[in-house]
Amino acid sequence: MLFNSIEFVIFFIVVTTLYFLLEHKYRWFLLLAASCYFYMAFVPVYILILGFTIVIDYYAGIIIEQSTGKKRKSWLIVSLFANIGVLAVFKYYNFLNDNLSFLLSRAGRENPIPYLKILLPIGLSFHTFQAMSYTIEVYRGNQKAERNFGIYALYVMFYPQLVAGPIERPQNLLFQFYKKHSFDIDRIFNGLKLMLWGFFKKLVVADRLATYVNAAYNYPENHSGLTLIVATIFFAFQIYCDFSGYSDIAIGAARVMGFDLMKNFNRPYFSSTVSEFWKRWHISLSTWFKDYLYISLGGNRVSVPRIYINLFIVFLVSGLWHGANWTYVIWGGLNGLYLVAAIMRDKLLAKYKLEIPGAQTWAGKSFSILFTFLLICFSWIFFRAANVDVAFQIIRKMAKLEGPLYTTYPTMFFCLLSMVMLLVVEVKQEYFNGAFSFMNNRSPVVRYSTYLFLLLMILLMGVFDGGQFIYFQF
Amino acid sequence: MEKMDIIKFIKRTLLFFLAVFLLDFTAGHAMRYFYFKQNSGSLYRTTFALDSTKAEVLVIGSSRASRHYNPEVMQEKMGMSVYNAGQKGNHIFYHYGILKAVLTRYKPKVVVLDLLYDEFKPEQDSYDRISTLLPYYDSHPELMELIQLRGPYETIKLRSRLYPYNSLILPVINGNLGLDKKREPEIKGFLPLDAVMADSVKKNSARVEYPLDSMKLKTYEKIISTCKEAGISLFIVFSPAYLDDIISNYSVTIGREMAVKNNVPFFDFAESAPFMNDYKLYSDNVHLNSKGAAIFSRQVADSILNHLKNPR
Repeated sequence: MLFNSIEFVIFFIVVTTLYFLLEHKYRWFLLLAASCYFYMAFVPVYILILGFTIVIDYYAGIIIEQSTGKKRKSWLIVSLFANIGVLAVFKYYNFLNDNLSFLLSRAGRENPIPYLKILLPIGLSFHTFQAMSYTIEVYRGNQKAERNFGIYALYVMFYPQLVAGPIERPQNLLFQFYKKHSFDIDRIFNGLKLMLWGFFKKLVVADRLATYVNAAYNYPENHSGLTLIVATIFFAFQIYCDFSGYSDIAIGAARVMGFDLMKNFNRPYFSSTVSEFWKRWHISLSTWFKDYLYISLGGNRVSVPRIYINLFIVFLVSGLWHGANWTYVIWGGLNGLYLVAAIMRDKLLAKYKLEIPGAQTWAGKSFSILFTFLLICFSWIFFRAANVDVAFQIIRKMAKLEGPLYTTYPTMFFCLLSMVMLLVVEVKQEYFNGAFSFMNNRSPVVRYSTYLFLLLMILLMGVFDGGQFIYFQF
Repeated sequence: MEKMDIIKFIKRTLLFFLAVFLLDFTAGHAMRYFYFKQNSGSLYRTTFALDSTKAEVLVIGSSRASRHYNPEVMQEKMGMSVYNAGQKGNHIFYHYGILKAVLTRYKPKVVVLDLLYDEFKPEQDSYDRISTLLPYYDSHPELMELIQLRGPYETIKLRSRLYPYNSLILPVINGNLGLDKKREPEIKGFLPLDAVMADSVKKNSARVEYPLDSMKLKTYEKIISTCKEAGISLFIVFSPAYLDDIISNYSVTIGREMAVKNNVPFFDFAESAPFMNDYKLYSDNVHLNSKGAAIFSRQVADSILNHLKNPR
């Protein structure tokens, strides 16, 4: 079930109403049933995969807590193996087989291993990572094992964040299922406002930009370098609004019922370094990798060259997490390189007590933001291109800058208008947060006019045939 | 406290929905007014095709139809009035919609359906594009059957007065100000292209079979049966395209077979002279320019006339 569908609107109203009508002790059951229904709206049979990992992780958690020594570790490995195993089969098997076929064909041999004809279960990487965070935290002693199977299942399946995050930690979410959430009107309106803004970002900005981006990226051979540059910048905003829009709807929907989910985006394109970008972009995944992979590899307690290697590994894995394609690996690798290069530069500057002239001025900061944005945009080329060859074809075309700009006037007009509206709000939030607020204005006239304006924009300019969220495929 | 909150919530929500209803009603009616006040542009051409044309020969199809069939050239050859109702980006559902709506007003003598390559390929976009017909859902109830193909909730969505005009604000402004007329001259629905293709490289058209969209095939059959029942001479045409191996396009092959089976004349210009090798007759690989369109219109008019005089 897509958030941007009538089905979801009906589902949300029914589930939320029932949630508040039910007694507290039955609410978790309602949410679990609703989450199962939500998930089964995609491919019903895939709930069995989810069920399989839930059962393993539930028992693994209890056994880890009750055991000592090697047994604890063994059960952690069982849990991780089950989760990574599911990912390996459904997400990476055909990719690995593809690469094996390529290598064998180089040696003039045929690959005898058959391909699997399976669809990737929706949001698989999200819920397996959320499940893994549970057993790791129980193993580390930061979280008590959950004894109520239904509550644990709900932790993995909680519908607002089931298929595209935010990837929650057990310490933040599990206890909330036990808390009685009262009907708090301010919190409900707060959640609904966030959902409205999320819908605006998805329907008005992301899906509108997608019409231009898809036209250029699906047929790059037909488009000029200039068009591909514009399409790449548009894609940067498209993927941001698509994914952060989803997160806003998820966080908002959960907030209406009284749950606090973690913040996933913090205006990432205002970052002045790549390192800052990764603290503001897909925060729940970045912190997951930091907490469970980077620290496990030694974190900052190892030698400097080892830190560089670890960072690079984390970003390569992050790339692979996004998809079984070399384009994602290169995307991750590029970001890893950016980060390593930035750390090396900072260390050199510190060593020789140097400063970049004008770095702290308004112009210097603006340049840093623009430069970071361009670096990120360059990496998005690999993220969006169909394959590595196409990505390089696009880069070659961009370098030549030949040919006219592809414009279909309504598309371009709507794209630019939606981006301007987004930027106005984000600039205001980033630099003038205490200043005049539309959505939270004290005057109900201003507040309600803003909601109506956003709704009008969605009805007038939203793309209602836009379809899936990009991050569902991960 | 909680009870008070619930009452407050219900009051505020009701008030908000009332405001939404008023906004939707007002803005929707304003959009409707300006939509039907247009006197030029692509949206206006749909309105004209549905509500005004009385041409004896009606051309239906996608952008290839609107760029390829010059009504003046055809009229001169055939001695019958011609209107080109081709609409860019649209597919078989739209063409059938035009035919259905036109038949509620009058009966053309001849209908020319320009078949698009890969027309029967399953693509969501073909269904999304039925949105072109949304503004007519209340004035043309015969279109509802097609509109509902967009999805199961279309009737609910159409409760909103603004929904049919989603994404149309800019084209509606243009259509009212006549900006399109200056940029893109129109001759009875025909939109000539002046540009000449830059090089003679033929693009590959993949010779692949794909699962066919049963709904599109059904709609194609409906066009054939509707014309038969109404006693209209239907001609299905595959107009020229500067693509390699286009003659074996799977959809065109299927379309040809179905036409033959139903005794409907099918004119295939895929490999006809002079279009096969003269790139200067094209504006791009799939659209003829005005020079190419003039030659093609004469040829297609000749073929239709010959067939009308000597039906086989």
